[in-house]
Amino acid sequence: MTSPERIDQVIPAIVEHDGVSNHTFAAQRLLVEMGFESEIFARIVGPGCAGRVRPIDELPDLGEKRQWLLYQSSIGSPAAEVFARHSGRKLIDYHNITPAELVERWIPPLGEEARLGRRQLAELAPLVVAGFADSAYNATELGHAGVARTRVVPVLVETANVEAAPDPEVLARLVAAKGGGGSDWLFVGQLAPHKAQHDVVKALACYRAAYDPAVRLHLVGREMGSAYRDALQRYVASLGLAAAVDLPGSVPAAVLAAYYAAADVFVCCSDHEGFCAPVVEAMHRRVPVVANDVAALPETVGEGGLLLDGKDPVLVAAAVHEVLTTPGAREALVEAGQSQAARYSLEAARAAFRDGIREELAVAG
Amino acid sequence: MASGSPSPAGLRAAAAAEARRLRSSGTVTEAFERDLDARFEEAAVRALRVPALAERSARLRRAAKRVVPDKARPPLRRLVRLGDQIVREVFALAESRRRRT
Repeated sequence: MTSPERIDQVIPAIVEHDGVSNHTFAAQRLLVEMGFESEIFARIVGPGCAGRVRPIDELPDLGEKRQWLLYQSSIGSPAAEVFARHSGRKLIDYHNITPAELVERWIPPLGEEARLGRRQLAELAPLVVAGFADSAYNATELGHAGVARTRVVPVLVETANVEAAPDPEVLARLVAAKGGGGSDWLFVGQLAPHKAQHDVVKALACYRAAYDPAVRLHLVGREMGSAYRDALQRYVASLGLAAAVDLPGSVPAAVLAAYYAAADVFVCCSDHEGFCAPVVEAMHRRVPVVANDVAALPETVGEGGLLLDGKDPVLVAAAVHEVLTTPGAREALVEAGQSQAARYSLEAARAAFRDGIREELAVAG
Repeated sequence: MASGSPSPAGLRAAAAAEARRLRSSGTVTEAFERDLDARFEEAAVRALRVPALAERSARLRRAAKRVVPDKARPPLRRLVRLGDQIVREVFALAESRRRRT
């Protein structure tokens, strides 16, 4: 088989400020650099993405020799059926699917989509020639689903999130708040039940009770369903923490950079992560990471942060205290985080992606 | 990590010991932890109540339409519309109470 003219990507939904969407755009740039024509076809095109992405019903079908498809899998969608019916040679890029039981109480339709996604993964497995996964954890799931050949291709982390200069006004406000004492905790990720921001709030409440009532928490990220955000706001208010917990929503890269610049520690209490790009961003931005030992987090954090056995709020509070008060601890974790983040640099991820495509071209002969 | 610097394993052990100390000294009590859990569950139940009510009212409307199809006699259709209106009013009332609290 000769090299195809096109390697197009199919994705259920594409939006701004989203890890999988950023990865898809970065993959497109890379495929074009490699000499392929490459477009993105999505079933749902979010604001800010129009003009860069085509509706899925415009996906051409040029046959196996001329066109390959790369499916970005993270949720169930009718887009998977379009991908399955297509005659092009198929690859899958798996970002994990959140277990339905973690979200269905809050967003029942999302629970259904997650279950559909797992079923579709099993149906697509025999149709794809190979799978990319952004962590070994995800590669193992792909293998269990039945994909014969898998390789780890780290997330192509959005460069702006690790290189943008901090927004001066936001940074000044955050730095000014430090004048009143207290440290700044940060978590970045969708406000979503499986990211368990409420458990970070619990740990914060323990930390205030034990060490420092002036501590602040910034939970940056767009909401995934209003019910969880509503519950989180009610919870924060009922604990009397409304002035200490900041929920700024989705923010531009420069504002995010200001939050990283002002943060003393990045705290992750997620119940599920297929990779967790913000952990890598925090390491790049010299913020020490404290996270619980679940799903792909042990792999992403590695020795570059403080990985806890569970997320007991008292343990998390004590861990943050150790990081912030043990002489040399913060610096040591920042240094270790920088080494770990280098493994996930954009260049390293681009090289892994290129190698993956080249290997598939060689296999196709 | 530079030699002599605290290792992640060392920090992990220190954090576990410190967590035990916080509990044994009564700095963080069982009652405090139970209260943290209970308050989140209460917030969750309240936040989920309105979507659940909306879903129930939608189910009720769908069921009413099955029982009394559109081609039913006008008085029955009026009754269905009235029932639908009542459900919507109840939902709006619940929503406004939720916003006030």
